[in-house]
Amino acid sequence: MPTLQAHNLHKTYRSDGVAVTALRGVDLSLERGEFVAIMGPSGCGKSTLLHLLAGLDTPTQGEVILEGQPIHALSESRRAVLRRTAVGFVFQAYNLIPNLTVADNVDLPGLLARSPAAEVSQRRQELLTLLGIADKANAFPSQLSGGQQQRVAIARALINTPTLLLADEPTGNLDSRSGNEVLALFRDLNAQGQTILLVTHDPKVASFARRVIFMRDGVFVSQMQPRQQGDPSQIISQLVEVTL
Amino acid sequence: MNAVWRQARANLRSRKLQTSLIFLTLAASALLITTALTAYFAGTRLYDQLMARTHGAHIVLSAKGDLVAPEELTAAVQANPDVVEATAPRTTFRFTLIAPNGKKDEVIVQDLDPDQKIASPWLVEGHLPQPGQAEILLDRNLAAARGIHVGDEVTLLAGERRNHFTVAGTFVTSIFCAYPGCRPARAYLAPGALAAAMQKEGVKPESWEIALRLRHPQQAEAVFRDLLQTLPQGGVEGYTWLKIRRFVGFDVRLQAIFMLAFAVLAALVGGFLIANALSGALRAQTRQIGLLRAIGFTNGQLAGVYLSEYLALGLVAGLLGMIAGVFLAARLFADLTARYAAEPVHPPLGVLAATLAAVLVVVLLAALLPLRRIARLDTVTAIRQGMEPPRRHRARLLRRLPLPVAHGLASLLATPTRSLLTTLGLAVVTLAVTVALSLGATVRAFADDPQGMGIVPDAEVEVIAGEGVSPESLLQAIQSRPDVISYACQAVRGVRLAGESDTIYPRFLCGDVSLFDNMLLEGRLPQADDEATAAYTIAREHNWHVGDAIRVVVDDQTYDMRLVGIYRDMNNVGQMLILPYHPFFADKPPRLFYLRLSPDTDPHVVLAELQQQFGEGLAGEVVAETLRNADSGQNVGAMLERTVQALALLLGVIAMFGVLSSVSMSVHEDRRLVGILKALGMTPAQVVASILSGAAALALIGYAAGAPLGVVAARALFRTLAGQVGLGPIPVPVDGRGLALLLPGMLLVAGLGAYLPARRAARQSVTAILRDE
Repeated sequence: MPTLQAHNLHKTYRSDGVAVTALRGVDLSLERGEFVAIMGPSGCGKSTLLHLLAGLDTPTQGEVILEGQPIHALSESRRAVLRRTAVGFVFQAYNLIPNLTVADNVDLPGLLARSPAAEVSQRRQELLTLLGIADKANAFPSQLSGGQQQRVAIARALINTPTLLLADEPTGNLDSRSGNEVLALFRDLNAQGQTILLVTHDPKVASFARRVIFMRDGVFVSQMQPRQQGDPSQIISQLVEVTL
Repeated sequence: MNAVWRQARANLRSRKLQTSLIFLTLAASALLITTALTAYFAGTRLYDQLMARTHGAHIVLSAKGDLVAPEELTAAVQANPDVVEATAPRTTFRFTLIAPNGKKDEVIVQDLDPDQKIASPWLVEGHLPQPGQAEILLDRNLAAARGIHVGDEVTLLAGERRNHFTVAGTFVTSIFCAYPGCRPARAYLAPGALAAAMQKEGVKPESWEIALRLRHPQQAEAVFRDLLQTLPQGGVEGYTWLKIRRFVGFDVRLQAIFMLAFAVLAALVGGFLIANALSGALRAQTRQIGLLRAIGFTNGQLAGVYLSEYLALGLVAGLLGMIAGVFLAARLFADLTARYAAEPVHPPLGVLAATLAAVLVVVLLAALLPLRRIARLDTVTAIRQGMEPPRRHRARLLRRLPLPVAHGLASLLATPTRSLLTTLGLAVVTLAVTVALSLGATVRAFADDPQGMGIVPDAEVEVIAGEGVSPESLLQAIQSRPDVISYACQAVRGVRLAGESDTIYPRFLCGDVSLFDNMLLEGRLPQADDEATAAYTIAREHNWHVGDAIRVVVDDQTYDMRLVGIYRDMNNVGQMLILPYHPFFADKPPRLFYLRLSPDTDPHVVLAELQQQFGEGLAGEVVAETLRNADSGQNVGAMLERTVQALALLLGVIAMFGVLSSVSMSVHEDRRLVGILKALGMTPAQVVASILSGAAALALIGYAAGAPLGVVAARALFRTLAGQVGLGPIPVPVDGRGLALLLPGMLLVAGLGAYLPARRAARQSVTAILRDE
């Protein structure tokens, strides 16, 4: 059974009384262990799709099945509870809580999920070590570089060992070196079996995925599988084709 | 200036909730201040108006009929250069008045003089007694207390003679008794009717009364002293208008003190609300402030923008609150105006000006601290960074408390000043409600056991031998009753303290004086002929202590007494003494007795049997029922309790406004944080729980600080007031049940205030927040 399935997803927002359609019928199926990037220009509906898949919002039409559960039909509370364990979310702007230390930030979803504190603590140490920031456990986010903050955000996203890791422009606020480090990290996590779905407008980022889906005006227009991870040239060609 | 005002107006409109809450709080404060100050001045103002309307007397002299001739009194008055006008000496006589419901009261009766220019009675209802008619004009307050109406028939007892009169009308007067509860009240008969009513062998005019007006009314006390010195010692007594003025409206002034205290507390909470709202506005508008500064606004102009916002708000709220206060005062004090047959109470202009000034001062003081932030703000940083994020302390509580609770507490620590101001508001309200609860407990303690506060003697029945009842026969009858365990007697007459001109009216006791033991605060009651016990207030004013020597003058004789005790007495505002009966009355038998009955005796039966034996001339009451009479202190207490409860409720609402405003600001500032937490898996219910737990923590701290302070404040306040009214130190019980219920009450106030913003936070769309980034 696929980890995530989306059928005929539509999303229309109302802004100042004007209807804005962000998604116009998207179908997606994500198998366990896949690493998928959704690419497209700004405003094509990438982030909206990600929010629907994470259960942060509900579709105007269509359905989202996560781990066999129809999250589009669940109440907000039930979606929140499911999100704690099934989904890890990495934001472009990190969204760390400034007054909490790295350790507390990472622990937060674990404590929300009511996991035993000792288990949470042990898992956090493992993750911080894996991500190379174990020495920063007692630092505050403001004391870290952008790359380090994003690593903390990734650790936070993984603390509950989620089925699915979602990332929205995870390198958008990082310099190229930090960005590459984060992407390498994603690649390594995927190699260890983590299912990852990220959205980006950067071909370089998308090139780290095993499958790239191109999106325009709220619909998927094509997809491809990069021959070599980390090489954006093939994606750029495809992107030019899609855009034109 | 135009730019400043334009910006200020835009700011107010952009913060509708805070603006509305501040407006309501300031208006409520103005309303309370106006009402309280109006009440405070109303009693004396109404009396002053009555003095003016009735061409009131500045001094009333009363000469004893058998000691001073009327000509002598007139001569003394005419010789005094300060007296500008005086009535002729007029006969007064005391009767027992029997109301249609059988209640008896002593009344001072005079013939009505249609040409009387000084201190004429002011007709409230009906008409003046007509010559040749058996009509009587009754004091309005006595009539109201006894349920007597115009057209009713009443009886005046004089010796064996029963005189029946129809009540022609009611009046108010600027001389004794000008206020409810004052006894004996006055009554007027048609010209010439008094002589007929008191016609009986051996009955003489009791006294001559003369009313004076002075050139300098404020010097009435000094003139009074001069006059007394020129008249036979002990033959004349009297009072000044200033003395009556002190007594009138006492209960309303008491209410006013509480209202004013609550108004100050409301204004204080309003100040906290303004300080919080302004701080929040400055934080939220940091970038805007930077931009305004960049385009040329000076710090002064920027401060002006925010100050003018709140001053304008204070001005409008103050004016509207004042207008509401004027109407409320007129309605609340309708009964008070009726006492003086006056127009509705309107606050003096000074009161209105003081109210407005108070509201504006609150605004200014509350705004000063937050406005200092403007000067400290760096323009470039303000434009670049905008609102500085709340300072969040590392939440170590995270591991020990459920996450939502920990988050709620961390939010409080993130904005410590705001949390402190909100907590102070809740603490002030807790304090006020605790005072209200203590007042209720004190009033209930009084109602349950008035003797515990020394209000009445420990007796069941009070009997008074009126005209036609032989006191000796009454005493014999009392002594012969097997159901009477013991009795005490009491008489009252005017005496002076040596060196002073004021007449005071001590209680002269005989018999089983232990009946009055519960009134004692210190020492004991007189046991020997040269011993005296002083009321708390008079002792305090004269700095008397047990063991001191005092000298009293009765008639023209001086008595040296030794003070053996201090007791509680609210009568005559505490200007009271207890003296032994026999040295001062020689062989004259007492007429008033208090009876202590054997257990299981029905006091009503005893009273009825005595009245059957002695006829209508015997007045009496069951003591416990006297307490329920409309003029009793218990009713004043109950009225005060109701007022204070209403005020406490109002403060509770204001505190809720404070929480609502504070939590709304925090929710607005924490919007992104809540969005992140929801994205990480916090449910809407947890968001609500988190915010409510923060508000609950504030309420708990406010309660912990306010409740003990309230207990202490209530004790200090009530004891001071009790001292003022002559009760001396009184027990102020703690209402444990009320205090226990207050805790959930304050949690409810905080919860109600926080719930709406909490629900709004819970309903925030995560995607909308993330999209806005």
